[in-house]
Amino acid sequence: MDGLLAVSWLVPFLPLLAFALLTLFGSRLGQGAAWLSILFTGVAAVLAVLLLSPASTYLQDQQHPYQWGFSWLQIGSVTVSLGVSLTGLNLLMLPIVSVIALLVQVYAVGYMHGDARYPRFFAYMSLFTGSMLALVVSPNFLQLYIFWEMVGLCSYLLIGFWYQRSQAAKAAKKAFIVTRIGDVGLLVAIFLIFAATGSFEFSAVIQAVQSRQLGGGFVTAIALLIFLGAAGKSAQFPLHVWLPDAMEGPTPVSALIHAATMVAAGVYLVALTFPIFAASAAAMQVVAWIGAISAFLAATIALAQTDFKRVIAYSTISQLGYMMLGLGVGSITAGMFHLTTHAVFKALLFLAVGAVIHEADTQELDEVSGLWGKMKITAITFFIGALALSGIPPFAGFWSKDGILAAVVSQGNWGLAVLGFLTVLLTAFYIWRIGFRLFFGEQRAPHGYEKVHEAPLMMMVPMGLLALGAIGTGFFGGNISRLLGSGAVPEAGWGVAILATVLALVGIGAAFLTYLRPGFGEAAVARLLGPVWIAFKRKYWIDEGYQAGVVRPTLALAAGVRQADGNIIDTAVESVGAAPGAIGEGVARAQTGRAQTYLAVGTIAVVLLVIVSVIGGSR
Amino acid sequence: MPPTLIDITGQWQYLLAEMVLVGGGIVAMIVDLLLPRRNKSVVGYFSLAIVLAAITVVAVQMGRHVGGYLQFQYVGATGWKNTVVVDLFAQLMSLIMLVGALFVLVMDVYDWRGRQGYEGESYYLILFATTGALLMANSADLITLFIGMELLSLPSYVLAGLHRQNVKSNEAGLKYFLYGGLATAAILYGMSFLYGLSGTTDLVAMPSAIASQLPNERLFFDIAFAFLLLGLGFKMAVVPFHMWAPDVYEGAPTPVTAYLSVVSKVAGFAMATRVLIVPFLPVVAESTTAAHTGLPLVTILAIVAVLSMLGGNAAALRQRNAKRLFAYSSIAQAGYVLVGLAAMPGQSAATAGSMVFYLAVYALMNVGAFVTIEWVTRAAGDESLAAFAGLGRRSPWMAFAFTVCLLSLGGFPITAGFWGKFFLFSFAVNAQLSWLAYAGMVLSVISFVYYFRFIRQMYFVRPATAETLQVDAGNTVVLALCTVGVLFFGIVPNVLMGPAQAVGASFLSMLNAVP
Repeated sequence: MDGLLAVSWLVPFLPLLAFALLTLFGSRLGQGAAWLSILFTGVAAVLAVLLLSPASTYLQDQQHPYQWGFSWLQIGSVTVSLGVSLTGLNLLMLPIVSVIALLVQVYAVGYMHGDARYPRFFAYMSLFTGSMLALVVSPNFLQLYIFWEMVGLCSYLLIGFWYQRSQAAKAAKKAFIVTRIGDVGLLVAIFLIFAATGSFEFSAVIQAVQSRQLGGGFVTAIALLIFLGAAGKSAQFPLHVWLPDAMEGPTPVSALIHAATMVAAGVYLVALTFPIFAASAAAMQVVAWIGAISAFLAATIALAQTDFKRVIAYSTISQLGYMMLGLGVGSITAGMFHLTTHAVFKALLFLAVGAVIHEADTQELDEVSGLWGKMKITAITFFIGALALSGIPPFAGFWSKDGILAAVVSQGNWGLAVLGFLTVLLTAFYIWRIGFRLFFGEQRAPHGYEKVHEAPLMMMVPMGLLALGAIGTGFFGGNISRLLGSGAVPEAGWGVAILATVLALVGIGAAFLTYLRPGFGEAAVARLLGPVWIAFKRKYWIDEGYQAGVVRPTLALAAGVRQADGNIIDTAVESVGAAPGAIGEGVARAQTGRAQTYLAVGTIAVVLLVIVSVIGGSR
Repeated sequence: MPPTLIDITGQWQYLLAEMVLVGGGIVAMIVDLLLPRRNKSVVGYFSLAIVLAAITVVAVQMGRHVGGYLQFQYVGATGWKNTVVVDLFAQLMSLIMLVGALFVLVMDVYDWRGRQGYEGESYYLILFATTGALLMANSADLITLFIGMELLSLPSYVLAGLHRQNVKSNEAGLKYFLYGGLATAAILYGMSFLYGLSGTTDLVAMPSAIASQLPNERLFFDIAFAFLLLGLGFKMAVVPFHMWAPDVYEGAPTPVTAYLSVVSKVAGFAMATRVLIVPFLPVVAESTTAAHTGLPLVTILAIVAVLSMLGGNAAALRQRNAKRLFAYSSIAQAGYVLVGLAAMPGQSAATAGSMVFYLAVYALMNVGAFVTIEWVTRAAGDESLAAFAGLGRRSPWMAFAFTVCLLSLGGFPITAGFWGKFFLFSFAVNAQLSWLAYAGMVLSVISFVYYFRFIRQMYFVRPATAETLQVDAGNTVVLALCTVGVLFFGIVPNVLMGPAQAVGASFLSMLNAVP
């Protein structure tokens, strides 16, 4: 059994190896590229599942996680290792990441069939899977940060995979830059931690926090900076703007990276460094409120979007908000349980709409509807996912969302609770809106309804397996809480469960009335809500706000600096009448005339320095 | 126990690298005179061999006499000592500059193909300039440092203007000459203050001599610092002394631009470490204790660093000309290194090491970038970003190499550039300059925007021509070495950081050495 632990490093290593092989030989392999990638990811997934039992036994017996690694670099007297640490938290993450990656890759065999850069796609998918797994097993902040950036890079590559679309290239860059803003927060936090504790190891840092070696304000600052990184990666308000645009990538990418795994890395990071958050009430409040606000805002935006893939993207932001909310009110178990079930049912929803996009070749609700007659299996799997997302018992989402709501209620923060429950209603409405409009109503598709049929088998099999998961994973709450050792899934009696279920049913009912009953429709809802609906539809103008508040000022600054290198200082210097003329005037005049300016700027700076020091010295 | 400096007067083998370069340069000059016009590339290959020989010399001498200091004296002269210090800092910096010069020569040989002009001159001028650059790194005496600086500068002015048919190149040469002249004057003036205050030109003896003068003469130290900062600021191309760089970088032949941005800049930092930091350490030390009234020297360096990172990164955002964009990029990169320079008084050993690490990495990634720029812009006859359109299709390996260099310049993990910034910033935090480190991290995010413009062009834009870009063997090797180096030091940074930290340690002991 210990032998299995000793090869645990293979879990992240195998997909990374697959990436290396595919980069070198991918173009020669052609269609075989997919199978190489699937084989390596498959072995990693099997290993990840097999590790569960011996590693958790080890954890219980030894009272510390299994660790393996080698010395990687030396900073002063500090050694940083590259390796594997098997805690309860990452033992949970490894199977989630690897199994979903495996299923999505199988699905992609069908979805990406015929793409000109087919081997490249699977190379990137392998790189992503390996990086994400290496992130998860990190024993220290440095390794985590490096792979944190690597998954960001993979996300960039895969969002922009279809670079022929100009939107895809823009979206890729936006995702990269926005998440990097969060990443700077994380990096600064890592530096602060290192400066304060002299270590990058999670265990050392957590020990320093728990022994109250670090000051209260300092801990809050670190927690908030870490959360900035987490919010960027997990697309939480106000850094959520990149995720909907990321839907320009191929749908398997959306399913794997922008729903099930990478975006969950932020939630994972908060859970991992939870003791730091727990030491600061203020930081916990911020996490809880940002989570609740993201959950609610994203759900309202999802109501009014007509691009159905984007609706599911907003749904992801909203559900990640729930997870943050769960962590923010103090329950790692609830947050991570929801991460698990969400990974399954959200991957399922994406694969199901992916099948629709694959067949109907559109993402616009206005262009396609009534597919039930053609895609019954896809419709059924979609509705299973929708039931799980809306939180109807006994589907998976019910159990985990109930855990979060119970934790919120038992903490007694009514503001958070109201947002949490309202979002349940909205969630049910927006996802069933998609379901009803896609699969019922007038039968049409952009390239002819008759041409639409079920997706290939390779795509249907993963969907079927995930559908089973969306039904079943809800029953593993107990196992997850035992594995994490972070307390049971919160319960708050029947009241919360019944209220949430009723709200979800009301949402479904409202969607049914709106979209399936004649005489009422989206136009009526829009009229009823007036400007509020427009605010939803325009996503609260947040993108425009960034454009006006951040992007344009930055470009203006850039233009300003460039100007300063040319005209402004030129004029300023001339008007000051500084005397650069003495320096080779005759020669300089033959040239652009700027030479004197350049010299004058440097000289003036020094003259100022000297003046300051003379004044300073005479005090 | 401070190390004792070892007197090795007369053991000239420790100047062998410089001698090889100068001797090779003179031979190249004569050979050039005898050769017919179409065979000038022979001079180029000869110069390559000379630089390789110098690299071998430095590599063989590397690490000898660690912990001790070997000094030369002018034979027979009295009162002039410590002309050259042989320490790890000098050796590693020399190696970086020689490798940079080697790569630039490879670029240069190609650049002259199909061009008329002073081809032979360009090769041996690089040899002479590199001799000066080496002296700037391994001298610990104001006079020798100054001679080294001039030996680097004068050929550089000529090199920048060597494409005489090109108006921009002419202008670049003349402008560079004008600014360089002012910089030289300022440095000499600053040095005269240092000599006046300490009574010595010997940088090893200077700190203790200065410490005794400090309480009375603080103002003059500040003035000396201000002038040295002006002059060296020009050499390093940092804001607000950077304004020559965009024009000169754009106008100069691309290999010369690469030379200025790598070898010249590294030499500038080497000299700044010796002249702008070492003599002023007692000044800074006193500032932290006494209620002083002078300039906050560390803060000034930090402000220049922030201005460079901000100005360089922001101005690069709006550039459309690749070479001009890289001028601003180099200004920002110099800003990162300045973070290390500013942290040095607080945390000398480690910071000197991280600075050497960064400069080594910077040389690799910037040369890699300039090789790509040279080939792409030359083939397209266009220096705008659009020339890079579809390079990912046309020459996948070159596009990959360029991408690695760009990611490294931006500081992305698993490239060496990440570790370079990581070490610089983490030692800045240790040196109580956290705010500077955080400013650097935030400002470096901007750089991704413009580095990604190249990546976008290469991979996301259709090429104007489907023609693949054929690169000759020499440049392919250079580009491959740069890329592999950037990746290798990114994956196993310790291989380079180990020696670099030893540099820091040996550099520190020079400060405490007994002359």
